[in-house]
Amino acid sequence: MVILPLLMAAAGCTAGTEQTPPLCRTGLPAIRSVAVVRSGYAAGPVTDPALRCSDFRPTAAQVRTYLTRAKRVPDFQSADATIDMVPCRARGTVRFADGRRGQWEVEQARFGNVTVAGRPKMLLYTTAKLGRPFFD
Amino acid sequence: MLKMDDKGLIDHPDIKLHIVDTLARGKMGVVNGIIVHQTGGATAAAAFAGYKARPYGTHFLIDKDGTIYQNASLLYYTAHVGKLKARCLAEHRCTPVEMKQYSRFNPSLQNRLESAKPAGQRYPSNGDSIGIELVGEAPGDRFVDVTAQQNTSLAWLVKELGQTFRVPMTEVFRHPQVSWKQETEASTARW
Repeated sequence: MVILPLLMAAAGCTAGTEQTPPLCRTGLPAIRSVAVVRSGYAAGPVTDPALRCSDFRPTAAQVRTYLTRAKRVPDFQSADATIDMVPCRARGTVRFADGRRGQWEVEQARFGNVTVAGRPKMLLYTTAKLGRPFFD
Repeated sequence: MLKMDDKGLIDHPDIKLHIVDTLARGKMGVVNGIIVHQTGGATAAAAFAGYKARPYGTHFLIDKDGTIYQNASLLYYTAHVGKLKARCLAEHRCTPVEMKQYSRFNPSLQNRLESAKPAGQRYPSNGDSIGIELVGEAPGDRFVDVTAQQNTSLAWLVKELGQTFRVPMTEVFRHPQVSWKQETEASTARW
């Protein structure tokens, strides 16, 4: 039981809690620019009347902050056991300082992902308070 | 009725033991519900690797061919649910005060208020539920259908666990019913 957190720390990850997954360094380069391609849409049924996906329209600057602060979630299982996943989403593109490009997608409750050319999709999450239109 | 030993392990020829000690979080008192999940991965081996690397998972795993594995002692709870949704909203029995509190979407507030409620008025949580995962990937954000063999095994396991722990069928839920998750997770599970 004591060894697992030590292994996680050695891998650059937090141990995680019952409501927060292990969070690891992303290893992503600095961001040069972000573009929002689509926002305010629902990627599935909206089951709570208080949830209005059309309100989720983050600016490019807000997404840049998100991508800068977000950490890597090591797998879907730990995300599924901890993170709130809501259907309200935005997606777009990102260009990094080293010239690489990628696609990002983020949910209103701060679960997201980024795909950098030639690499598998990286799951992202941040516990940082980002303010509206994100849920903190 | 399932036979369980003093370590919380089921003794049954149709349940293979694959215990990952790190999944056990703390003592589980009363079992008030059963939560059905899908793993998000295509194989049991991927799920087992995840359990060993990180302490998140369920008491049972059902492979695509219907094989049932027990992963954690039933004396302990595991981390598999996440924050609770407001059960009174789904069942249309919130008080006026709750309706006002829940009028603005706030999953953290919902979880905090729900967690303070007694079992039955809230959904089962990590601390008082048994988790069952069905192996199943989610390409393109949509979970694959649960196989016929998985549903046969799931129905048997839910019935046996329900009898053993006196959990009524009304307290058996798909993961996205009780917590904010991808809506297609376990949507084709039947029991």
